[in-house]
Amino acid sequence: MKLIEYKDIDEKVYRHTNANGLETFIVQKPGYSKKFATYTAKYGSMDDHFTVDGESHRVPDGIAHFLEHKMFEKEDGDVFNLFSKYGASANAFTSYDRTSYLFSATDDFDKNLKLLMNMVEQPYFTDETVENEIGIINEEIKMYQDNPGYRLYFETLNQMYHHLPVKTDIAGTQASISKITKEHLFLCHSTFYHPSNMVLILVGDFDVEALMTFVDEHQNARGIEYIPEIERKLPEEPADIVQKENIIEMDVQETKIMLGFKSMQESLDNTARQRRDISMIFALDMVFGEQSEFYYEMMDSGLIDDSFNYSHMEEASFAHTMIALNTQDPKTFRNRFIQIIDEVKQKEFFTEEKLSNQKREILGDYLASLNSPEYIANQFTKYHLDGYDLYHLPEIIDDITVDEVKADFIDVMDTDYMVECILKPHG
Amino acid sequence: MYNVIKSEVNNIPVVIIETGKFKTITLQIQLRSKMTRDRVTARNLLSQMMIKRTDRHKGEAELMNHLAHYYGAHLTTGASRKGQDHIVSFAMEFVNDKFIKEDMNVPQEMCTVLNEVLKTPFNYDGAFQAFFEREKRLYKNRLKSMKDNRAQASFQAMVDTMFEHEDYKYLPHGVLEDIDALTLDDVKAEHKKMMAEDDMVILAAGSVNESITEELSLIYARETPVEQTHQPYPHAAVGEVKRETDHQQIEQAKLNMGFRADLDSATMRMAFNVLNQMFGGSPSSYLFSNIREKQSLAYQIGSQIDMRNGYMFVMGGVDPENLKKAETGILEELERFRNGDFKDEFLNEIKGMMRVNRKEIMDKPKGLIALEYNHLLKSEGTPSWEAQLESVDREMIIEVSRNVKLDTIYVLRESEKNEAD
Repeated sequence: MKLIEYKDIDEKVYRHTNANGLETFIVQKPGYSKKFATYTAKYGSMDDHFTVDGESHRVPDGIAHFLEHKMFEKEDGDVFNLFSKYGASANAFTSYDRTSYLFSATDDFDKNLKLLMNMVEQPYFTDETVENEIGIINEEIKMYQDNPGYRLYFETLNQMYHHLPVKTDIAGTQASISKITKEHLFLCHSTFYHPSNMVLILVGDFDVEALMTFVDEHQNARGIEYIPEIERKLPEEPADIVQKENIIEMDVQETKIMLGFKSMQESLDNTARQRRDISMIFALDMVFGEQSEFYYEMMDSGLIDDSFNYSHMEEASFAHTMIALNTQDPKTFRNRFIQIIDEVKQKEFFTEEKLSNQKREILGDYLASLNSPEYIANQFTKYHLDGYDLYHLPEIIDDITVDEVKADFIDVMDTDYMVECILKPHG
Repeated sequence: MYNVIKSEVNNIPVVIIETGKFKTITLQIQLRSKMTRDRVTARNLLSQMMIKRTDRHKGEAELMNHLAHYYGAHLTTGASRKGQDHIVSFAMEFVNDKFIKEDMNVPQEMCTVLNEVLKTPFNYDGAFQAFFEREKRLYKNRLKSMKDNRAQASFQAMVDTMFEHEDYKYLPHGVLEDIDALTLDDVKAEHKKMMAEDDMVILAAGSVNESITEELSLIYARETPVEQTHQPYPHAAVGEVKRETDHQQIEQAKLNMGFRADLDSATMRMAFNVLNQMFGGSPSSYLFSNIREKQSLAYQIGSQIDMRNGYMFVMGGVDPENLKKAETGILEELERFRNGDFKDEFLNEIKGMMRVNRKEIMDKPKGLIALEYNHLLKSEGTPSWEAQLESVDREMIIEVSRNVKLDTIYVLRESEKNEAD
């Protein structure tokens, strides 16, 4: 077990890798009652085509999410209720690149952790339970389809991406999930829930030595020695977009617009990717954030309201920026938005002073987030799986330069790779 | 685990919650007065304006940059309801000096900003008119966009039906229809009233001790102490069940049910709280495990309560074909509690879970502040939270569940043209 100390931010992390490949991190948080565990497989909705030990497989869309639902169900009932019985609250979620199982508890942590590990490690699927789940997930898909924000988001992704599975709803479609069988589930479980493809993060006030031994003994008892070779197959995605403009109608009160800037590029190494991710947060905040004159100019002229929001995603296989808001006049907004991008590109907009305030702000937000064991568990997982270290963020923040911010902004906010989707009321 | 110091500064009650586990310090100002329709909308608009412009920082960008300079201090406002009261709160969260490598007194500066936030509206004049109009528009948009959230909109519609002739139907975030008529003078007048008559408390949580009192004294001063009573709404008897159905182009129907209970003591309110957790307020509840998991009658199902006022609300996302079955099923689950059809083991499990949840609240600065604020509102001699929970037994659950009466059923379902028979 290795101790990593981050003195500047007063945090301690213990790390250990089991012989079967599982990595465990314990983040020590003295004084907290709540203890938090996440057990995560590096497996999400994008992993629909893969090769394991030389054999190639294609599985139906939505299967990672389906599998997540089914892991709670065992021969003798729903494990969810057992967590409640042991005083814990459990949950799980699937994103495009990972599936996380988590619980929080104040007492009986070991008992709940054992329950979590067993639940995730021991599959139980029958034809009947799979059939039953299809009905439940159909309802979930319908609920998302009724959500205007969700619809708009996926329509926009579909205008940006030709082939990448990031454009597909994480839950799949009613058609795709009806094809799922228990054989698919066993295959995906044995492939992606292998300890070498998972990470366990424990956050709270622990007896670290005893806890790590507890995890290690459990993992050793599984008797897993063989580590499979997994290769994920992603389709080739061209740099250009699919469809520039699109209008959809729904039974809504307000018109919404979403803009997407697709930014495919040569794959960056982990550090470069994290830098670019943060640099884009800086750039977007400086140009469109609540400290920006542009923001208030658009606010005062009625082009935006406080539904206006933006985000940037910088991932190994794709990157994009998205802008969304409710507006009665989407075209005027779009035109002014593009003008602002041009103005920023042409003048010396990004300054040391602006960047310095941004850095202070993001550092403050980051430190405030570290009050939350839940945030730490989730973000630590995400950063780890992406090959970064959550606790090195302050150093990267400190290191980013004005030139870098400007270059990234110019590169990503390229209107040749922009799509727009408008969602408006019927009629 | 933490230490609470209560005092008074400039005639304002102050609660200091001392704990070393957070990396930030959180200050909160609570302003409480009786909720009425003629004030609630102005109070919401006012509080939004207050955190955006002050006498010193005349533009939002300027104020935001000032806060960013102080390591991203967060200034926020919120509105909520407790009993018959409306509470406007202002919170400032900032990083503990210990993590800052330069020499700056962050607490002192943040208390000064809060003072400016509280005082600026006294000086609202013509120069604020355009800003006021803009904030009105933003506020209207916020309330309008809530209507596109089906779950929220159908909850609001249920509340409108259930409390048709009661003030409770005005939600703490205000009334959309009342925004247009508001003037800058109305907002100024509301501010004057709020600063003079509201019950005001200042709370601080984090790595702070009595010495922060000096900084807190910068926030505000009153010439004399002001105190407001705190009461729930009187119980209104339930008559015939009210029913309302609306139609929209949606795939999944929303089923909302409202109940009332007549609760005469803090212990019975706690029993009501426990009943809610057992019935529909937690993942191991009857509604979740039976209606959703076993019978697949709903994708989403849950209940929540207004404990002080004795109201319970059930909210479900249901396949339109299952509406009737779900409604009957939900009432049957409640009936089981009235008949004592539950295990002591389950009751104890839920009580255990509530203890865990309470401990978890204490892991958050704003959670600690909320708990300590609730303490202040309790009348003298009220048993402690733990003593109340401890005393809740099987008989009390049966008694309180028999006291819960169905008042209203509201349904939002698919458009009539494709409606099933």
